[in-house]
Amino acid sequence: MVVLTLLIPFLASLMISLSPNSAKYQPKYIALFFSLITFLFSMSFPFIYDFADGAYGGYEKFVWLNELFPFEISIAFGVDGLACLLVILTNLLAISAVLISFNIKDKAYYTWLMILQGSIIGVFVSLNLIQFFIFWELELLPMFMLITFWGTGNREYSAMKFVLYTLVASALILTGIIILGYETQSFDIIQINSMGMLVDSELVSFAFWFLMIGFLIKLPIFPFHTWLPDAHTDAPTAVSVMLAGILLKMGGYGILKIILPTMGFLLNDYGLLLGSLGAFSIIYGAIQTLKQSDLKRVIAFSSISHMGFVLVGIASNSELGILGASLQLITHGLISGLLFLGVGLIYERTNTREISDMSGITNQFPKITLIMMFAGLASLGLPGMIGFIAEIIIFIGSYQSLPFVTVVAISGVLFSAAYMLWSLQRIFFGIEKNKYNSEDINSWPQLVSTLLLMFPIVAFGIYPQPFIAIMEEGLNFLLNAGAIL
Amino acid sequence: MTINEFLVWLIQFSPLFSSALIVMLFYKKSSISSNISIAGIGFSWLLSLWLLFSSIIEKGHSFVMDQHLWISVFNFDIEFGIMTDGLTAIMVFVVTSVALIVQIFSKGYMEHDSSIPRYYTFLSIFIFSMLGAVLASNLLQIFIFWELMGLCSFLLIGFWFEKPSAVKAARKAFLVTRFGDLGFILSIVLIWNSIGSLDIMVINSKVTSMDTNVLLFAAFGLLCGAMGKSAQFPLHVWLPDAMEGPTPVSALIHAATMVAAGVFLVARFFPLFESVDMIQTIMIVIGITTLILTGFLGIAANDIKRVLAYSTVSQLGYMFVALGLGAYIAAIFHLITHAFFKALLFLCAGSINHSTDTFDMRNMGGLSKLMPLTFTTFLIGSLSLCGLFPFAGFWSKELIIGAAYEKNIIVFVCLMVGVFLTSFYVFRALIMTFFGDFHPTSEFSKLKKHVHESSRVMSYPLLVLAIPALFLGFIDFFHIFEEMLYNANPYLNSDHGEHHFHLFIPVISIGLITLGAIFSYLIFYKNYLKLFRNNLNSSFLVKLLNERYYIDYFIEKVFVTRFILGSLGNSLVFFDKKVIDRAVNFTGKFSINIGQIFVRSVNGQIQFYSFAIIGGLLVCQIILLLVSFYVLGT
Repeated sequence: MVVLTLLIPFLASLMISLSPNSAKYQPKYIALFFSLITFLFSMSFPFIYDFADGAYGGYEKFVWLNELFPFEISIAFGVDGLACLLVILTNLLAISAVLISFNIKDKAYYTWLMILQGSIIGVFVSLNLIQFFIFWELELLPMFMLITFWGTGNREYSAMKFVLYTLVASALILTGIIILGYETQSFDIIQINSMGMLVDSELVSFAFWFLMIGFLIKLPIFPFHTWLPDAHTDAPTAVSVMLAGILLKMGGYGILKIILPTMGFLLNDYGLLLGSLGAFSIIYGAIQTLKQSDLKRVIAFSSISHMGFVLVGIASNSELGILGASLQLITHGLISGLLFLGVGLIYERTNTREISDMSGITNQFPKITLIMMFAGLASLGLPGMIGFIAEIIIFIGSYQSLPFVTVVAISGVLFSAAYMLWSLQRIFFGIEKNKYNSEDINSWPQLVSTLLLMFPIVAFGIYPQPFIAIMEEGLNFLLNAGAIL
Repeated sequence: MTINEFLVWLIQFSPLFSSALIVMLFYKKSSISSNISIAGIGFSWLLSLWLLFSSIIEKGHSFVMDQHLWISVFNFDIEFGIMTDGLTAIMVFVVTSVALIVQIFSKGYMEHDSSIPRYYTFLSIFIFSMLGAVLASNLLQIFIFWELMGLCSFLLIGFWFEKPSAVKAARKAFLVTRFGDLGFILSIVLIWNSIGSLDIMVINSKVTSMDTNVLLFAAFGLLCGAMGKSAQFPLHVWLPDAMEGPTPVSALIHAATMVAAGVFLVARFFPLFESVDMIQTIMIVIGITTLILTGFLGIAANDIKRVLAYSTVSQLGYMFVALGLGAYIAAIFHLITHAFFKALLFLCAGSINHSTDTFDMRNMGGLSKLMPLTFTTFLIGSLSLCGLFPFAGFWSKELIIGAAYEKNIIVFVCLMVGVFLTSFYVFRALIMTFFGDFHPTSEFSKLKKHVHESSRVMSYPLLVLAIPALFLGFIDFFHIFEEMLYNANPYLNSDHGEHHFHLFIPVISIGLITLGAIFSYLIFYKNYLKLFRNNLNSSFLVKLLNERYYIDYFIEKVFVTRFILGSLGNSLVFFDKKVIDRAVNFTGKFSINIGQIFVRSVNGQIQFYSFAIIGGLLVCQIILLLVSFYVLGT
């Protein structure tokens, strides 16, 4: 099932690119159909697999290179609770991304979108470091293409910046992976995780920092964040949704899955440093947000701020802190995805993202107002929505080992309220400035794409237990590896 | 028969259901939506009566209700449930009663508004959250509804979203209260990490076993949250601006219920606050500062709603002083009487506004003849607010002042100053609004004949609210409620602010009230200060009051605009653009330039390549020779 879920998007991209140019086979419908199928497949994971005790569902292993290295390199697939939720999130956002781009007709666009989806799923279901790295790199190509060809503004610069930045991260990660592989004589993630902690040595510290910085670039955390606002501003809506919703989460996933079970003990030494970096990122991103005039940049910096919470949670190296951080990955994926959908909807109608150009547009677009206010409130951590649960668990969990960092992180909650409400109020409320000759949301794809994300935000905000329970099981591999304090 | 759990949940959820019904089915129909909302809260009110009687029978001891697991992960178990002690029962009754009356009043007040369904939806969700916070049995549960209340307050202050001032006031209210809530969150974190539970009963029972530092910070954090919601100095700045919202909203949220939630929170965790002396001192100091500073502001304000808003803050200051003195029952009693008479005053202000279209008292005057019913009820509310015998306010205020007299004479004197200030601004408002004649320069003097008594849907609620404002003080003749409140918290210290009755205290306070009234009469009716008025307007004191002690100025202009958005924001943006991003671009350009240097070597000329090969070999040879000579020594 897992392998199938991975293959379908690639199959879909093949079918779209080979489909005849006729009105009957519009690429958007093919893309929608296959993204629905993948979503349904991945939705079945929690029901058909048992993740208890960190078990993997849908595990498949194929030997790939046997003779070339001192140890075998295989291809292995499988999901645990954490990966399962991330795969579901990917597929959910992919449906939204397809629906929101329904007025694009290019075959190539949907081809790349499907490849993007497939490669992201690949990252989460890979159980071999080399294979993980291949999918990690593969995702760059569709991103580059999508931003360069369907972006806006200074898109070539942004796409190139994104790719180069990420390649630096990749180089670091690859080095880290190779060190890790030789230290443990294996690239098999399950095998590595079952070995427990590595013995402390200089080389291991190197591997830790190589991997950590690589993943922090992806997360992104100050001072490695400048690629994100540019990439977001110039990317088309669907790509922004995928970028904020899922691509950033790969960084967090990498830290959780690769660094913590093998080198988590180093957090005893560097936890305070990383936690402070995370807390600084929260405040830094928030203050940058207040100074931005482009709505997309506001949300991009808010992502940096929110990813700071993830780092704080992880750096605390406590059960609840790490759980909260993993939850934050999912919740932020949903919320920022929704925010970017909203921005796309506004941009489509007003042709601007400058906050100062808009005022009082709620009279013309009441539905968009509702969606954006909903997303904004979720983003500022309003109780009853999913973001609050992740944040409060991070705070409670990380206080024990990082008290001062936690206090700073808590103050981020005030900042997020400030920038969210301020930006949204300036756009939607106040005196009506311009009349736009376009209507509020009136087509089903746009409505459905937002509703898809709104539903889990509020449903799991009110009753989070099912969602948290899967995540708890998904973090058992860390407990088994003796990673958490 | 004791009420069962399902029905108690229904008290809370019935307003939510009505709001859901409005949104799903009747979002286009004004009158149906208002009726549904009123029916929902009416149902809650009936059930809350039942809850109150059940609680009276149980003498305020909490009766056992199930706890429901909400989150259970690792060692983090959160159970939600209902607290059904005397405190809850009384609070629920007060909230639903005021809410019901306000909802009915709104039907008249909002009749010309185009978005009545939205109004009633928000209002119902607010009542749902307020009841949720009151009924909660878990600190996290309180916090959830606490924040939802804040959201509803935000939405309702900014209800008329075309008005930039309303939008700004809404944001200010949300952010200032959220600033206080940072303390609330911190205290949740501290309490969990200290005792591993967030259950209210458990927290109150384990106070003695907590580390003193943790206790101090946890209590202080909760106090910050309470100060934000209850608008205590220096977080009081949002409440006067919150008057931008519709007047019934001000009556319900910003006078009777939500702003009192801070007092409720402290009362709920009273054993926690009681055990730290420093926190009690802080509460007294904050309460006194608030009540005196805002008392003066009440004198300077010309907007009738703002006068009432400052008065609310000031009265909440009394409650905080009472809490600081340990007079927990007095604080709650004052909360209850205040909820009724202040809601009454606000609704009167709404009734006045509905017929005169203004809130500015300088444009009013002589309304006593034109709106006799509003005048009478406003008078009852005012006298109750002053604390005149035998109105409701007298009894609750007397309890607080009496407790202060026995604990600390300075506090007692400050409270007495507060009594004088209250009477002074109340009578000023009464005189400016209802006596004399229309202000000669105002436009309304021309419109005199249009001013009329409000319709029945608005005036009957005033009459209903006047009853508790008059008689509520007598209700506790048999000390039933006192016992209920005392039993509500089994972990209270034995001394809960009981005091002996001193006859001279009411005599002094009534004397001060009369003095305030006379001063007001002389200054604002007889205009004895006319001679000084020109000097007065330019004096520093008046300017200070008009600028609200420059606190708002400092927070908004200096701290937010100049510091956060100004120097700090600009320097961080500069750093981001010119340092980090430039470093990134530099790396890119640097690589390109390096590449361009080496690109020249790839020029396709065989001669150059062979020269390079031979030259390179030679250089290598020389290096090898040198290395072997110097390093290896052969």
